[in-house]
Amino acid sequence: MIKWIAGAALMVITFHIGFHIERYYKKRADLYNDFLDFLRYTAREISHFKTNILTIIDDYTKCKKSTFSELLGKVRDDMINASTINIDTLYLKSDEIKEITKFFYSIEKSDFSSQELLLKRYDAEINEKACLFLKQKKDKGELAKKLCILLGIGIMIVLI
Amino acid sequence: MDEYLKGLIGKDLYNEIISIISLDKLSEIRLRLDKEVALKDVKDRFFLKRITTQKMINDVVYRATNHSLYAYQEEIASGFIHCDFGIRIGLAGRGVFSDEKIISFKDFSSINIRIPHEIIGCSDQIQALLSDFKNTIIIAPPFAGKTTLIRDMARVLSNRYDVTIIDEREEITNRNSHFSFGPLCDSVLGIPKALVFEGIIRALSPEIIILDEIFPKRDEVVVEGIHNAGIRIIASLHGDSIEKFIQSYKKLASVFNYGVLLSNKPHAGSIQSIVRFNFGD
Repeated sequence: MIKWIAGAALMVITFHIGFHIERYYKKRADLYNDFLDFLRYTAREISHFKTNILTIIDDYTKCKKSTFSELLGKVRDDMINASTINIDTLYLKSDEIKEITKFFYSIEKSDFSSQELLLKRYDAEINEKACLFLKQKKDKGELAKKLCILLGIGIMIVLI
Repeated sequence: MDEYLKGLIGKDLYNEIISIISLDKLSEIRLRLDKEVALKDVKDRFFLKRITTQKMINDVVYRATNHSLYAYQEEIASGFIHCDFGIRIGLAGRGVFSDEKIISFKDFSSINIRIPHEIIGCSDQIQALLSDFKNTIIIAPPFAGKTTLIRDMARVLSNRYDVTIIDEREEITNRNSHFSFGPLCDSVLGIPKALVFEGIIRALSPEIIILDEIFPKRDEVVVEGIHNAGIRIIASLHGDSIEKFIQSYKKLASVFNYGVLLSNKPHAGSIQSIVRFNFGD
């Protein structure tokens, strides 16, 4: 009986680890995919209406609820209330956070003629990373989940 | 407006200012790099002990532009930023020049935050001109109350006539302004007069058009176009003499029936003279 309980517990733990690893890669891919979507929305709003960045963030976050939208809301608050933008998320590495933060500092201070170049450059870079993270989600995330499930089942079989 | 101003200049500076002068009297806040913060009401000038830093100036500019300099580029190139509640910020710094045009300003060294006040009834002094309204030009030096007077004239006239305000610099009214106008008032904001007046004549069919701060050489065609369309005009112009205006811009002056000269002495909004022009209709 104890073997059954221990096996089941270990299986649940390995399943849990597998799902977490997959979730990590999925979140990274989603964040960069949403950032790309936001960049394209920003490019349209700026080139057609010269909408200010705070309104762009407001409108975007109202229409789309996601982890990236929550992060954008924090960026907006920091822009208004603090002198520095602080992004805090488990799913991005420090250089990736720096890259996103730098975008908002640049857009805040550059003139209209620089915007097109800035947004094009970011679009190219983020598109490349979004594709890479999507590939990682499939290659690493889903593989890790499957391996963990198999490991859990394996442990269960060995124990009983 | 107080919450907005607090957000714009920062809580500490706001509290320091309010301890010296109340918001309903405050007309200007001047931040000049490395100099004391200067304040102005309609009569006097005051100084704070606080010395202006580059960060203070930059923070106000970024907040005023909603952290988006690009969205205000044309205004910045013209030396100002319009904010909510009719607040305007005049800018001084290093100009960026290209193809004989100012394309922007950078390294801001001074800013002048001008706070508008609605004085309901200030046009009562020229009530006679408003009852059977004819083309009127308001002439005044800076800080003499042109915009305040025009705003009140718009309030009175828009109860009886279809009035359109062409407000290039969003000084008479703006999106979040709390100013009172009559039920027949339309405003077109942020577009140069010359680009928009034809469309307004065709589409909005106004009986009176209000133009703030015309520059004769640039806006003569606009004023004549509106006049020739049979629409009455109120315009304002920087100057200190009606005679000088007539001598310098005879053709433009011939459009107007009345001239009102304002002065900032003894205080902003003082009417020096009202002149009925001999030409006109």
